[in-house]
This record gives sequence, structure tokens and C-alpha cells, in this order.
Amino acid sequence: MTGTPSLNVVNLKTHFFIREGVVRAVDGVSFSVDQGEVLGIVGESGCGKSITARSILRLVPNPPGRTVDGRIEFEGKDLLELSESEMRKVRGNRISMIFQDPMTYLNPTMKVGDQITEVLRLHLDMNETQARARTLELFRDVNIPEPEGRLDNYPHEFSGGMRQRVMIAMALACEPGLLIADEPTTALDVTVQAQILDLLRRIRDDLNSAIILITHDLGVVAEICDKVVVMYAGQVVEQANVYDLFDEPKHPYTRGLLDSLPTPEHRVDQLKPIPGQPPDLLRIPKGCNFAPRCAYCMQKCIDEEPPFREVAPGHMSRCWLDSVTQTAVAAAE
Amino acid sequence: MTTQDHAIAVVAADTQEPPPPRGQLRLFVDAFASNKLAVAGLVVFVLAILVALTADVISPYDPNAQDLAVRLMGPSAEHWLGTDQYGRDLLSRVIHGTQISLMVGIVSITIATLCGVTAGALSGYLGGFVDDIIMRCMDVLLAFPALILAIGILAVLGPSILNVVIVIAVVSTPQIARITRSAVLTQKEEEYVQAAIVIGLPMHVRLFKHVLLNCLAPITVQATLLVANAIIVETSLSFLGLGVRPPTPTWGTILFEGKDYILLGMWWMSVFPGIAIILAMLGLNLLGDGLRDALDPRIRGADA
Repeated sequence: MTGTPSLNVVNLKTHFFIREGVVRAVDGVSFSVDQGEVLGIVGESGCGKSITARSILRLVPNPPGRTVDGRIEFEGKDLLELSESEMRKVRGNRISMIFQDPMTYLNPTMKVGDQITEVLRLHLDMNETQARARTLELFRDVNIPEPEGRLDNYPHEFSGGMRQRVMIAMALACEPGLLIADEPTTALDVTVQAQILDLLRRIRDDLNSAIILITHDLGVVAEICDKVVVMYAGQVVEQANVYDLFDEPKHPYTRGLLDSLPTPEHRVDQLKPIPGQPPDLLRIPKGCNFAPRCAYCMQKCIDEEPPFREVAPGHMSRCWLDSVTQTAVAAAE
Repeated sequence: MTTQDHAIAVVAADTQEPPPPRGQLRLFVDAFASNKLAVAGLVVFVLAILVALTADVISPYDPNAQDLAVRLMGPSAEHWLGTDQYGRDLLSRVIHGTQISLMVGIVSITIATLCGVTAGALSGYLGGFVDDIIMRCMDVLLAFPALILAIGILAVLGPSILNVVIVIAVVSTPQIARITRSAVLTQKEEEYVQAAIVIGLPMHVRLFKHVLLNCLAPITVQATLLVANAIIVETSLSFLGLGVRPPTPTWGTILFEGKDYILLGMWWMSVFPGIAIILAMLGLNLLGDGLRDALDPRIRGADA
């Protein structure tokens, strides 16, 4: 299923320089996605997952935001070193993105067909007729019923799920090597969610694209992802394939996330929420970012930042503990 | 969008046989047509344009032909609106005046719209340094009352129709620029602009196609109202002798020539061009208000 790496992000740091100081929204994030692989980026609001995605496409508003360090290797190039015009040729062409709220990401005054043909004409140099034919094909691919009649509709004439399909059709127009989906199902109801996830799975198989799925919904992750990156306070705290992560979470934060999921066995009133709040990114604590909320916190966690290390084959965790079920290695020292 | 728009979207998505969806244009036309005052304004404006276009055909006399035998005659069967001190037919002069006054108003505001939209759009979209420079220049122009500024510039350039057009364009540009800037500022934060960046559209396409398309409503309304204002400015300048020079008839020059005779009881020389001005103003303002109501989805939804 997996193949050559499509995207390789190394030590990405995107900071926001505001009057109060420097917000380290993304602070040394590394991960890679292979072709035909779905990577999930999980974390609570404000943990830096969306900023990571936007940094890849270099969409972070500057000022105040700036990617200060790192490499984003994609198709043999470091995206951070491209000029703005070279970057434009990547956006919408080799890397495309879909968003959480399909209601507002389509231009309300343009026919949806025109919005897609615009992409095709820009990147693939198609003429009007070719672009229209291709758009029709795309509408069929994303299962829009009666696509012929829908090309000349305006966005407000579509339902939420249909609009998300239009967005996906637009993102797929140039058969991108990488698709970034920023909470693509959050604004949709559950049945539509399942259809959209199905669609993403088909894209992965048919186009062999890499997909990065940003979500806070672990159910969605379990459904579709091959690999998962868990983010907390701008850092990756755990990375593993999806089975290992759900079976044996190594980091206390991931553990907490899983424990706060409702399941048939755990009713809502028996859930264990993670106490406290994520740290203020302006004042990151000295030791482990998660220490103040961690049930396994030791003196060492407060004094020293834990390294991001391999705790099991292919399973990385940023914790002094090898596993949350095991007594501390570090404590024994 | 409006509840009405939503209702349509829902109907279109849910039923098997969707009714033909009504486009934005159709909704706008419906809203506009149901506003009687706006339609009246449009009719007046269209009539004025027709009069201006057919001036040479419908005028009973040459507007500049003098016939001293009939000078200073009141309205009569031969001269419906009377004659002036040179015996020129007032009706023909008012008709030809329509031509010049409308032409000056429309051409100058077209120029002002092109300049103002470009300046305002760049200012709003780019922000920062560019915004500061452009908007401070506009503030300088706005700091003077339009008429005073126009008089000042004309005093330097000298009176002529071309100069009047230039001057009105200059004093109107800031109005359009400000309206455009504020509309662009609102629109550029919209997420579809983000999406346009994500699909790799270059900046000028994003701004001049995607963003401005969504700013058309306030700009159109402002431009319509500014045409009315431009006609007033032209009339005032001509009345003051700084605009179009006699004998070329414009509403302002006819009024100017007639002012000395009002107290002698020869009211028609001032009253008829005055009525023409009032009608044009009324028509354009009603049209502008009607456009604003019809283009604003919130108001449109409310009375539909």
C-alpha cells in the first residue's frame, strides 16, 4: 500500500511574532507521508495541526507568522526554498487542500463549474471545452448526481455534503501528489461523513496520492488513517501506525485522548477527561509541555524536556516513560 | 446568504425534481422590479439618456440659432419652454444640455470608478505600506469640499468640457476608492479567498476576479449616486462660469444665463433647466437606492 515518500517534513518551526512575544505554534515537527498512504494529524484545538498544514502550503499569514526553521521536502524540492511563483505552481496542482467548512470556501458569486475550470486552465493549460469536460468527469468521480445540470449552479444551490464534494473535485482537478484535508468532515453529519471518507479512500487507491488528514476525531482516524501523528502544544508527542497507536498508546496524552472517547462500554458520564488546559504557547514550561496535566508526572519531567525517541519498532514518543503502563525507566535512575 | 437563498438550496437538493433554480440575476431583477420608486428612477434615467442620444432629432430648433425677433418670449406653441435673451429656443437648449450634462456625469464617474476601484482594491488587499500611501492621498483629496477643490483645479486648468470631466473624476475617485477598500477588506478575510490561494491563483486574478466580483454591489450603488453628484458639480461649475463655456448649452449654463432675468419676471429661463436638474437628481437617487436595496440580500429577503 505504501511506496516512496511523498512528503517529508523535517524539524518544521512556524512561530508567530506578536507584541506579547513569540508564539511557538509549530515547534520542531517532523513526519513523512508515503504515496498511497493516509497520515492522520490529531490533537486538540490550538495544538498547531492546522498551522502545520498551512505551513506546508506556505499559507501562514506573514506577518505575524513565519516558518523560521525546517525543511519540507516534496517531489525532490524543499518547498520552503521555492519562490512565490514556483510555489503557486505547486498549490492546487501538486498539493491541494480541502477545508473544514465547505460553505464558505467556495466563491459565492461564481458558478461552481467555473471555479473548477479555472484551476484546470491555470495549471494544465486546458481550453474551455476540455476543462468543462474534465470538470464533468470530476463531478462524476465525486458522486455528484446529475453532474451536467450542476456545473452552472452557484454554491448556495448545493447542500453541505455536495459542496464538500465540489471542494474535493476542485482539489482533485490536477491529480495532486498530496492532498491535505483539514477537518474535512467536521461540519458534516455522520452519514455524509462516511461518504466523504469513502471518497478519500478511493482517491488514495485510484490516484495513489498521499493524504494528510487533520482531525480531532479519533473515530475518523481509526476509519481511514494508516499512520498517526499526535500533536500537543506545537510538538509531535507520539507517532505510530494506526493499530499500534490504538492498541498501545505510549504517550500519556494519547492515552488521555483515547480514554476520553465514548465507547459502548464507557458511557459519557464515565469518561475520563484530561484535566487542565494546554499550555499558553507564549510561556512554554521548561520541561515536558504536557507535565502539568500528566498523571504520570515525575520531577524529571518538570526539569528536563524529554527526547522524541523510538520506544517500540516504528513507534515514537516524546516521554521519559517507555510506556504509560510500565513504571518509569527514568524514575529508577 | 438569505433565508430565501437557503430555502432554494434546500429545495434544489432535497426533491427529486428540483424546480429550475433561480439565479442571482433573476432574484435581483425580481427585487428591483417590485420596488416602484426604483423603477420610476430607472425610467427617468433611461428617458434622459434617450433624450440625450436623440437630441439632434427631437430638438425643434438649433440650440444655438439666434432669432432676435422672438427674444425673451414666454412659453408658447412655437417655443414650448420660451426663448432666452438671444431668442434661442429654450426647449432645444435644455435637450442639448441634457446631452452634455449626462455625458459629463457618466464619463467622469466611469473614469473615477476605474481609478477608484483599482486604488481601493490594491489598498484594501495589499494593506500595510501601499494602503497607507494610497489612502493618505485619497484623504488629502477628501479633506477639501468637492466643489471647492474642483474650482481650485479648474482655476489652474482653465474651463473646458474635458477639464470639467477630469476635475469631477479627480474629486469623485476617493469616494469610490474608500467604498471599494472597505468592501475588499471585508471580502479578503472570507475563506473562498484562502481557497483561491490554495488552488494557486495569482494575486491579480484573486483580487480582480474573485474579490471584486463580490464587491460589485456597493461600488455600483456608489457610482450611480456619484453620477447624480457629478451632474450637480458640473452644473455648479458651469453656473459659476468655470465649467462649460457659453454658448454650449448645459443645464448649468442655461441657468446661469437665466439668473439675471428672474427678477424681471422671466422665470422660464431658470425654472426649466432647474426642473431638468431636479428630475435627473431624483431619478438617479431613486435608481441608486433601488439598486442598493435589490443588491443587498438582507434587505431583499426582508420584503420579498
